[in-house]
Amino acid sequence: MSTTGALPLEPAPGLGGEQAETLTRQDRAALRPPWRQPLALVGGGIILFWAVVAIFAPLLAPHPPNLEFGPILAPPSAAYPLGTDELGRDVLSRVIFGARLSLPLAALLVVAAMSIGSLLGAVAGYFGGLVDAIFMRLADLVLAFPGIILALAVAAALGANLVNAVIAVIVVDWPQYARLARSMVLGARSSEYVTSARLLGSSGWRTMWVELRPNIAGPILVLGALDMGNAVILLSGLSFLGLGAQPPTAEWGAMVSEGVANFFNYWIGLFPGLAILTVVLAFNFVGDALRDILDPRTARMLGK
Amino acid sequence: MSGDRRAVPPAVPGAPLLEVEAIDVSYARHGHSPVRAVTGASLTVGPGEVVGLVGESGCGKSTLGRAAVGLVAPSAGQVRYRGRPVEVLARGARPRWLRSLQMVFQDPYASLNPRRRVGRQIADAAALGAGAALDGKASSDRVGELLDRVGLSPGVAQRYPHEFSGGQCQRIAIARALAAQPDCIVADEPISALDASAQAQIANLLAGIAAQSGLGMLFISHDLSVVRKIADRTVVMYFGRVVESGPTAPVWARPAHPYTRALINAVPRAGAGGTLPAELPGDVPDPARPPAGCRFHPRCPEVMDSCRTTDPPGVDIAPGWQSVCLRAQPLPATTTGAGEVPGAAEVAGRPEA
Repeated sequence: MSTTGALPLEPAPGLGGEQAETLTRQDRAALRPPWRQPLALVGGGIILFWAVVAIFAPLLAPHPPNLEFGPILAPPSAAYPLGTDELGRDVLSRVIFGARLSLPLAALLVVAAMSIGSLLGAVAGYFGGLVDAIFMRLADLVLAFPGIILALAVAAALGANLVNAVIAVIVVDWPQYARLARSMVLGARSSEYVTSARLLGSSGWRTMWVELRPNIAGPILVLGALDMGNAVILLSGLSFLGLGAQPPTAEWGAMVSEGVANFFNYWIGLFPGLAILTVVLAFNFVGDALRDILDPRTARMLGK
Repeated sequence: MSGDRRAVPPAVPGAPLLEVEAIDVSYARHGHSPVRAVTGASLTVGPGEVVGLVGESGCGKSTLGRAAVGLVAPSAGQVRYRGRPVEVLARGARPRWLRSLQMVFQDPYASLNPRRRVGRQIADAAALGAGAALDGKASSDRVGELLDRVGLSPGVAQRYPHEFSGGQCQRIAIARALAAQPDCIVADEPISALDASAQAQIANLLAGIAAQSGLGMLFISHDLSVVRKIADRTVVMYFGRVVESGPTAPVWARPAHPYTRALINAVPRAGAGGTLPAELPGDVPDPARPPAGCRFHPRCPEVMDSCRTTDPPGVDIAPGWQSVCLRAQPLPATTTGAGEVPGAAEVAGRPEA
């Protein structure tokens, strides 16, 4: 799990205390809305492309993904645009069907990690004390390990299949959301609108859900967008190492792994690898644009 | 629904609405001795009464207000609402009987949730105050009625706080407090963050609400001219202590405490021929090391030797009018307590205000 170092872990101070800052050219570029930033546009386009591919996979793919019908290890040609693998399956069809796994699973696990992490973090920040200590030490424990190593250990302990791989990634992924949610709840907890709600008789849980949630949702959703690329990499990484999708499932990471076994038939590993590369890059482009907008420094200059 | 809300506590008959009795509030500081923000402060607020609490910045008036609604715990003394001790806000929801003790804050933008429509916030306050959710029609009717009461159009319920000016936000915050059907409101510097025209409107609105609905109000402000206009009684705080309290008109006309005199003299007057208001020399002492004797003596223009050693007791100037000063003496009409006051024989200089 890469640390999202540039992402603001502290909430933007709403009022007062800002020193006057001047806009640099880069700042101004970051202030443009995402639909006017070329990288964000390219990223959005690629995500859209892969989403369409995933949805219409049966229509787009020339063959079923697991049908062993063609010549074995045929190089790319007019009949097989991306070649065939060692079992005579069409690589293009398998890459297309792979999108049906990687994208929804990445979205699913980001949503799950985001929900679990923000809930635990918000509870820790709001109630403090022992609850805070327990949840955040747990988060520190997870963050102390390199993400892929811990995910490997968890996936290996649970057993090698795709469901367990998703669980393993959720286990290593939630703490960053917990830390962000906690810091934002800490910032908002003492604000007067929270005090007002408490004086009116709002319970702790209601205050958190009704009053605080809308105020901390933005940065957490941006972190989620930034995290999508990460999730795709982790999940295909586990499959590549044999701890995720099992043969004959058409999964990009597993296909790259097959490509390694057939090193001199470059097309088997190259094209699923390119698929991973483009998806991850696209999510990072979009996430970066969103982060710039929510960065406290640029947000302050926007007069937010 | 207001019936069962009021039925919850067995209110002590004859008790004042809000009663702050000799409270101390200390703030613990890491690695330092604790700061006593409020020391032995008392005041009462009756139904329909506006009590103005004045004093300079940092004198503990906001802390006193927060203690009065149960936001901070007093380290000594007690706050009672309808004769029952006010519970300090903890993790659970505030008890129903206490929800009719409400607060209005200084910063109108900070006191409204920026991401929720103002109508929703007011409707939630009404539901929480009543202890039951209102159905859609009743709820929107109530919101409209409350917005109308604070002088806003019911149509603004669909908007967000950032679409309003500071004065309008404060009106919405007041409407939200009123939604809980309060019997007592603590207004903590409700006009300090507003511009001049909005200040007068909000002050008049609050005074009008207190007069119409017979709710008690503790109006905390450093603006004496506003307090003079709207408060029935004035309480003056200096450095964590209540130094003078009494009916506004006589306190203003013949202030008994030198600090009250200094505050009143510091109010700029129109038509004063360009003279600057009198200034009080010196600064508020370090709260961690309060001066011995009377807390005001390092700055007092009328200081005596005994002030440096004797902590002055409260002197009843007249019924309901107290001053904590060694020089204070009762007005001729009263006879109580005159003999007990050391230094009372000395003439207290009371300039005409």
